[in-house]
Amino acid sequence: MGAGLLTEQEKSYCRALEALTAKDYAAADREFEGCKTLFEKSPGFNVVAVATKLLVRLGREKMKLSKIKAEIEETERHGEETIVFGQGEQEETR
Amino acid sequence: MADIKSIERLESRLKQLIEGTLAHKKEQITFLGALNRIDDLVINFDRGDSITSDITVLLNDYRTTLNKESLSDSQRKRLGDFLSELMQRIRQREDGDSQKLADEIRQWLRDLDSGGFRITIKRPAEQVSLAEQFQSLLRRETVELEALLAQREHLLSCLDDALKSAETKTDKIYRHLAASMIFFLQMEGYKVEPYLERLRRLRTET
Repeated sequence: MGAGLLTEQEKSYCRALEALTAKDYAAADREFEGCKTLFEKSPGFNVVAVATKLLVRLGREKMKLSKIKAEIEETERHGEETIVFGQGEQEETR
Repeated sequence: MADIKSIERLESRLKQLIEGTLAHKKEQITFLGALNRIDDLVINFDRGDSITSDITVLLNDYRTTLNKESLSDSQRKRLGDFLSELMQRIRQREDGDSQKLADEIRQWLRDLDSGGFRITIKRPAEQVSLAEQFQSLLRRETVELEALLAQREHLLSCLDDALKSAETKTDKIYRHLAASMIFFLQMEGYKVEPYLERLRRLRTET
């Protein structure tokens, strides 16, 4: 591929903003990683990049918690409870 | 579950923050988007793709939005540089549509100029010397060959690809590239008759 007029970092920056406009936060976060030194000079966009990263992490945490919640509900529906002890060495189902 | 609700509240706040900043910097984002699009067009052109319809879309999307009132001096300078690069390329195509688009880009460049700076517009194609045209063609061919070699191991396979492109695309670069490869392979002792025949057929078809 031929070299363009923008540097790779600049292109990443543009793609990150494009992804944000499309509300694709995960893609934006990946692109921001590729152009850190560029947006560091712009406090406004630096805040956006950090907020995006946090948003993506929160999304992951939410998924984990939702999964745990679903498992608990499933267990409750079947009237079964699994107790997991400390190091996972002992497990008891009652 | 309380934790999920807390996360969702925080998510909502962060989204508001991001959207608020994007709205506040909308003009800057539009400007960067235009630069990125022009950059893509230049890359695609250098790769040998047809970009005529994409330029039309670019003009529709940005021609009226990005003007001397909406941009700072430095933004106008940068956009002017990018548009000049694009115009220089599109003028290499001799068809009417390309020339019309080049005229539209030139008009855009003129509109951007407020007198505070001068946009350097490259010499029009008719003033570019034959030697410069040839050098430009060779540069584009080098880029094209690198792209082909990235996908193929042997030059004969690259030649086959170049001929296929020459058969389907109007850009003369492929025909010239194929001819160069055939000549080189012939000098190296390869049998090139079938390829030469394909090239001859292309010459008679056009």
